[in-house]
Amino acid sequence: MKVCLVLTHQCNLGCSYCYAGEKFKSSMSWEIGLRSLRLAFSRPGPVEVSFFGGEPMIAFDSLARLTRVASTWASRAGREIRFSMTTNATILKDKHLRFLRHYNFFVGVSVDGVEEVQDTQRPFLSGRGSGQLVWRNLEAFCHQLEDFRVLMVIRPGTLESLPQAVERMYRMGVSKVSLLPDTEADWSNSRALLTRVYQQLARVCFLSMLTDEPMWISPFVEQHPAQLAGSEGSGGCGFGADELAVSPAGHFYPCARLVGPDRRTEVRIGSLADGLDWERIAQLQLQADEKMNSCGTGGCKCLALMPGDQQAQLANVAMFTEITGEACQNALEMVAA
Amino acid sequence: MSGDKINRRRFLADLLFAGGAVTAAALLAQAGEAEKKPSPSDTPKATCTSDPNRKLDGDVALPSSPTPSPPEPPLGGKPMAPSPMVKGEVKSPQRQPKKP
Repeated sequence: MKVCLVLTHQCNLGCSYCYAGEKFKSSMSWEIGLRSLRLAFSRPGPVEVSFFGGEPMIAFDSLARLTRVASTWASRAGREIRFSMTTNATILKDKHLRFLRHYNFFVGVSVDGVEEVQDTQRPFLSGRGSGQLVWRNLEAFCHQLEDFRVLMVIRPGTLESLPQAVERMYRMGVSKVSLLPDTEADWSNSRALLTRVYQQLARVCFLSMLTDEPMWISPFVEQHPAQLAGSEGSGGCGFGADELAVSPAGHFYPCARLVGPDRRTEVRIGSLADGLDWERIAQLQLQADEKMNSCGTGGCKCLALMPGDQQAQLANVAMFTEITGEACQNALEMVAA
Repeated sequence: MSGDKINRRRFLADLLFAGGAVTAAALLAQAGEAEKKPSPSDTPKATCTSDPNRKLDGDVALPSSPTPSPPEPPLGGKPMAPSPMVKGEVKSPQRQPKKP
């Protein structure tokens, strides 16, 4: 089972588009952390423990203690365990890197673009830019970790310099990038640019897959025939069934993205105190399926449950699905030529 | 990440991000050519050994006269008059003292 521990609501960045909502100093207690780990071990099969926030590195001491405990339990029980974390790459010292490497963490590093873009999109709470620091730490990740993924939120204002940022990452040693569209943004005037940039990056992805140094760019790589043949075609996440997120207060959500400030009772699926609410899980899955099918999109079901104007967001998701498909088709024809 | 990997990435990035010009065939051809070339970090193997007894054809011609040195450039400006003696200053001998 995969359990995501939202260690804290606190974050040191003030991203303009952040879906996590209000930030406040509320961290997961040791007791709730342990009970969340027990939940992850409660079902047979591989155990996956991920850490999210806020910024989980703010709560590094808790993260480290919980990781050690989970690792010990897995070792004693002969269970396979995987750790992962999503970080904004602003808090990173040698000891953190050593720790992440020792426990073989799969790290998601949020970087939106070159320094200027990063400074605008993801400034510190004080307003100071984070670009220089984050790019320096990204280089440290390249040198120290075997496997990690860069998560890039793309917005109309970041498109122009997106290929430049991806190229720089490739030269640096990054091998995995996920492009995550800000579905709440107004994309109406950016379709042509988006098409051009996606076609270029899909081509880079597919061409690089012919070499010994591939650049796996999501969502293009999933559309490559070699990947489609090997996948089960499930798409999306476990969504409450075999995957859930625990808020610092111990409430359950189908996905870490839905936790926010932990106030949306309509998308909660239980708590450590009361257990899983299977009826609610079934209801939310049905609700999400209906909404996703209505706009012909696939992927993460939590998209249909995000706060804000869901209709506009799903329309944007549909547009991205279409442009991604065209870009991949174009890239495949070019590679085959 | 190793220096070789960085070099390889730089080389491929120049091809991959070159725009619409590069085709799959061209990429593979160039990437393949690059693989055949030794990387800059490879130590070249010795290709010849020197034999001290080996005599080479021909001889080395020594210059028949000393190589002339280039003429000294003329100094610009007017010659300066010697500075006047200041009281208390030690005057260095102008001539070598005669040997007894």
